[in-house]
Amino acid sequence: MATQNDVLKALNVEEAAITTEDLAAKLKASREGTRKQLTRLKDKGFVEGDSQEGWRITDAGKDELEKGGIHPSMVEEGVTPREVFEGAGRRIGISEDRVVLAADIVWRGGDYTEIKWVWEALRQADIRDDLAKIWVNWWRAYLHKGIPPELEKELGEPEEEPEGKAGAKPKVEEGRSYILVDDLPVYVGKNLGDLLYPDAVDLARIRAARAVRPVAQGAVGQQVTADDIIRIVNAVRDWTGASAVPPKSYIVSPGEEGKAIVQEVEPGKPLVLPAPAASRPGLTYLVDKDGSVKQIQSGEPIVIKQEAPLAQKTFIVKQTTEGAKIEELDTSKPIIINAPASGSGMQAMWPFPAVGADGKPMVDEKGNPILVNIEPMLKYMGFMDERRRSDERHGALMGLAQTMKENLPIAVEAFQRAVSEVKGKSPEATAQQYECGNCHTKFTLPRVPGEDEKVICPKCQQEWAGKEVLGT
Amino acid sequence: MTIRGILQSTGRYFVLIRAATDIVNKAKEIGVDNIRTLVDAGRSITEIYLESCSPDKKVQKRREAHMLLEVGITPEELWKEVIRRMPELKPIIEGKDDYIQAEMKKIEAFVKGEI
Repeated sequence: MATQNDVLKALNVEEAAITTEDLAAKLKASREGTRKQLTRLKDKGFVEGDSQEGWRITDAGKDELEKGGIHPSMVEEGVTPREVFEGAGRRIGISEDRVVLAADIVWRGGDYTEIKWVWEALRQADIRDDLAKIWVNWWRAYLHKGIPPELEKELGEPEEEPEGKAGAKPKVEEGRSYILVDDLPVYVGKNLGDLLYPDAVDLARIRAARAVRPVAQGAVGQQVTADDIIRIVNAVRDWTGASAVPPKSYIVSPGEEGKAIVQEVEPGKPLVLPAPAASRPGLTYLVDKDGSVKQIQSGEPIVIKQEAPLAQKTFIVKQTTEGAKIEELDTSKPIIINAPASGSGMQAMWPFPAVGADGKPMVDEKGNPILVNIEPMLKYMGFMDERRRSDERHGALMGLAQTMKENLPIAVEAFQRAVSEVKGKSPEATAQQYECGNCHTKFTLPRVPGEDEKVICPKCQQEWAGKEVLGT
Repeated sequence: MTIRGILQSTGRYFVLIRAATDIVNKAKEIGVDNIRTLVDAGRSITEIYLESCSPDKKVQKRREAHMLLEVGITPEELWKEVIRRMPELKPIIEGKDDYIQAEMKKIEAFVKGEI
């Protein structure tokens, strides 16, 4: 599927409106995919028109192109890995039906991230070897994967005629043909990678240096320079956590075959540098706790002064009427905690330590913990809970009232009949008496009438609505 | 009788009156003339009513009938209550004991889940 940028560029060179089909043909993309992109661009106001009238780029779209084009995310583009794969196949020049067939085999037959399987699937789809090689290499670069050892012959560069003798140094490929896999430079095809060879090697070396342990020998395969030493020491400091332990001093001396030996100097213990062996020429450096590097001679004694460890301070957080206050703890004095007066109605709201996105407590510039007063939040949550409970209570009461309203006449009648049973009288004897509003005759009913029922006075035959009778 | 007895009696009457009211309302929907025609023709009103009920409605009605039986209300008692609340039904079924017996059996079979 063409990108939104491609669609905009294609529309920008059109003088008149163009149909979706023509545009898809120009972009060598599917009609459906192009229509989707046009709809997205229309939503953003960069194109206008529709499938019937044709599509035109708007002024906003032209401005966007002048700014450098739009760069939507993969989600915005609506591109799936399969669409990317198919798009690459079309650009290579493989026919539409073959592209779909090959993608079907790749996606349904195995794991599309396995380069070996993708190659095998393209062979099954009867894609020509030269096109399949380009397609797989492109896909491999897209996935940032190296050439599998089994496919080196098929996917690698054709071997050149041997010029030198066997065992000659392999030729370093030019161009951005390398990526880093597990901190090692991997060749992914000519100009298909992210890095030049020297950059890849340097980056791999820096990453390797970060993983160096303080007691291990430095494995730098080149002549050691002062910059290299600082880099190694910084890497060691990063690894050990400079903030957690006091800074250390190191001696970096030349080792075998141009390698460097990093040795930690124990504070308070004198160290005399031995004379360098003939097989290990080079200079020896001391990196002190501040990170400064100085050259030292053999036979020169080195003593690192031992510093008294910094005493850890303890702070007390006091909750006052003016808010939380932090005070340093005087270890010579007792800590007295005043209990809040009972019945004061004041809740003790202890300050809450603020925690950052990394899950660690947040500290201010002086290293003191940042405390948050969560009382307003708790009050708000309490208010919300109370409101929810009140709403639920109201709903339940209304439901109960409705049920009572519907069944109240039945309940009243049932109660009257139960009472009359106790008294040993007929229900009519204990039934409620009604009085006619017209002739004032008193009469009883065999049962409580419904609201929509009519009640007739036995004397004057006046009709009364059930509502009126129940209301009296 | 204790207060508990009065409450139990009230509950029993409540269930009885409610069931009878439902039947009366349904009878009013059908119409007294139509009921008379059906009874005279010997057609079972219970059967016609149950045929029009959905399975869910049948389950609900069966549950209500069980509740009536649990509180000790017999079909005869319920029928008496219906007549009490809708006296115009009395002349329609007067002297038709066989029809009433047949209707009672059908109601009993329905409560047992046989129909």
